Amino acid sequence: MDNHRIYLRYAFAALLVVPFACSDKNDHPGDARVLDVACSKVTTDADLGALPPDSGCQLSKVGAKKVTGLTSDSIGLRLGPDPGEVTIVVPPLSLPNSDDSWTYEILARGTGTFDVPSCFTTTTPAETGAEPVRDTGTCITAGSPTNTFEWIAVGAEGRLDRSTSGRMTTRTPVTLRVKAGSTLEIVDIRIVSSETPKGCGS
Amino acid sequence: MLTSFLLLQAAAPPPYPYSPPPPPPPGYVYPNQPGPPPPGYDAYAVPPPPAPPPPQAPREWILRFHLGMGAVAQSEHNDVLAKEGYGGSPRLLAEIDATWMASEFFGIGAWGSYGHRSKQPTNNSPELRESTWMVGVQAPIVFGSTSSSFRLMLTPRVARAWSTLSLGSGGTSNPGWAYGGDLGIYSPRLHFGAAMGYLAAPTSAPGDLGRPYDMGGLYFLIGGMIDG
Repeated sequence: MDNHRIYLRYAFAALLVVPFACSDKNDHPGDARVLDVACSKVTTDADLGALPPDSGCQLSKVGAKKVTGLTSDSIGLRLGPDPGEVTIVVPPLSLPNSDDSWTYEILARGTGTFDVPSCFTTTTPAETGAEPVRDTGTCITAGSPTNTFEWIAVGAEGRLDRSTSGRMTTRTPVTLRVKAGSTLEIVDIRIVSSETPKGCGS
Repeated sequence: MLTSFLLLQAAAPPPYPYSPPPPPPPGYVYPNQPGPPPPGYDAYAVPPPPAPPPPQAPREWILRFHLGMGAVAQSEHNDVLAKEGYGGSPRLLAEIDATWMASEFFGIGAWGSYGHRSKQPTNNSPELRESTWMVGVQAPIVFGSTSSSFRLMLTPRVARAWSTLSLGSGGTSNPGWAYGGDLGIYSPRLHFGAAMGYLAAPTSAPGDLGRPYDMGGLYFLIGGMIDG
């Protein structure tokens, strides 16, 4: 066969394969209204240990308030304009089997800036017995909300050890803080887990 | 002599029954004969067309009942709900209205409707439910005569409206005013029709962190009607 035609065939096959060999991650947004579950129990104690082990919200400083959210029977959090801080313990959630990393996102709007003062590097073991492994390679420690509600990534990106099978769970507190003059209105929080396609390096 | 005899025979009438019958007496009327034509009778005249049916009496009242579906009007609050996964759910509608026809083409009446929608993005997410109630007045304008097979009805409307959005234990009712109207086509003989319309119903934000909301939107209705 003519070598020219053989090379064209290989080139055509490569064009078909390459776009799918290392495409973007497949994101899987988690369930809605996690904030309603997390902040059904609220404490203003300064001691983080006062939070219940499975879920809860801790409001610190005068600028942190629990209010109603998108409906009169849902929960929202308002920080500012006085200094305010909230720590949200996200309840145990199951992640899709195929995913190997996750991050938190808040649906929020506001003015000024907010801080994420801690990126936790330890997590509780998954209930299934498998050890989730986290690193701090990606840690979003600050953000600037807009005047319209948008999903904003916060905190550390967690990576999961896929060497074991079974569904993975995670519960890690996320802390959000505003300084005087800034505001942040939060109507929901969610976990977005991702699957890295095969063939892509980490 | 023979010639004279033959001539005499030719002049005399033939004997009966070959002789014609005697004339009838005066005033005798032959049986089975048509009578004289009436005065003014014209055998070649074209018969007049049949008389048109009497016109239908104008309707004094119209009662309609509809079922339908509607889309949620665009609003900032609805955009936020869509980012949560609660967008794109249609609203089911039930509507009834009654109109007193002040004239053949114009009426005034009252109407009421109930709408419901729900959406659950994932199995573990709570269900968003909305119920809307509207009660108001209308002033229909009817096009087409009462004897027409189909009539068009343009119906401007104003109403007091309430919307209840809930993500769990039951939200509170948000009031507002609705205004708009619809255009429908109806068959008085079939007692059936359809309509399409739009209502704007802005209301305050549900929840402390909610945004401006509109409980109206575009809608389509089909249903029955009776009139009298």
